[in-house]
Amino acid sequence: MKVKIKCWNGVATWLWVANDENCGICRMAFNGCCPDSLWEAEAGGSQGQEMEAGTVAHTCHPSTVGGQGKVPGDDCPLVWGQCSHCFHMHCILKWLHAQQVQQHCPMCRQEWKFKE
Amino acid sequence: MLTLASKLKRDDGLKGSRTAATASDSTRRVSVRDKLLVKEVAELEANLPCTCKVHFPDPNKLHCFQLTVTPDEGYYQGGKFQFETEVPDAYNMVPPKVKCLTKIWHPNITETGEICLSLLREHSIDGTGWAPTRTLKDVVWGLNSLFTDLLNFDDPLNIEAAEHHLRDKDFRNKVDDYIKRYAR
Repeated sequence: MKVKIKCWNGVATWLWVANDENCGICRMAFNGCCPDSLWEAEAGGSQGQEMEAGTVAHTCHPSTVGGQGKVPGDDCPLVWGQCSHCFHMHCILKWLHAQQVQQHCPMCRQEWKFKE
Repeated sequence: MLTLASKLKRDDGLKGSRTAATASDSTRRVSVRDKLLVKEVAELEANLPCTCKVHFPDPNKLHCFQLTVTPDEGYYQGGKFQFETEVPDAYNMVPPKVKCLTKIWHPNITETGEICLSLLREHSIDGTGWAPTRTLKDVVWGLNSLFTDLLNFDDPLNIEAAEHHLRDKDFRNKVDDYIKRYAR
């Protein structure tokens, strides 16, 4: 049987490549949002759409929600330190701001430097 | 390619246009602390040292609980020591607050209940203080260890007790005396 492909749509999914499944600070999955991003997703979705606390933000697409939904990826990215430990950017920034003395990695306690 | 610097630059621009979350939503919101506590309390209860017991006076308030340590070796063997733990709102950026309710003769615990445990320290220069990667299980195991390996006469909070140990074999008797009077 001869088949002629008329058109095709490519679909892809992406996943973070990290050394672990969950962020060591917020204990949520790297492939989901950190708690603060989830909260912003819920606040954005409160206009007309009931959202349960704890819903993972990637089911909340920005175009269907009234406000600004947060999705994993650009809205809640991961960052790596030079010690090679990885966290949600929001989580590690929150931790670094809370430290008054030397800034160190919460996992290995080495001095924290962002890996660019 | 997305870089950290460009991301932070974009965020600074966006901050002005983003609408703030309304206060009315805060009553519905489950706080970061409470979400973490559900997981951490479960982990704690599944991994308690045999010398420790935890008790929640209000099962709906996981942020307040009592810990009872009954050491089975060392100077404090036979005593029953109560600790009161309170997990602040800002957890896990800040450590839980722990107080010893039992009067004790110990170099790292004062008679009024203050505890010297590096893990519970919010800011420490050498980095052995609190980190958000620690859990309630680590805190309980740390407190339990104060009666055995972490018992430290060289870095005392109760200086009198530490010096007593250095100069006098009577230290052990005073510990036992306190246990008889307060830790039964």
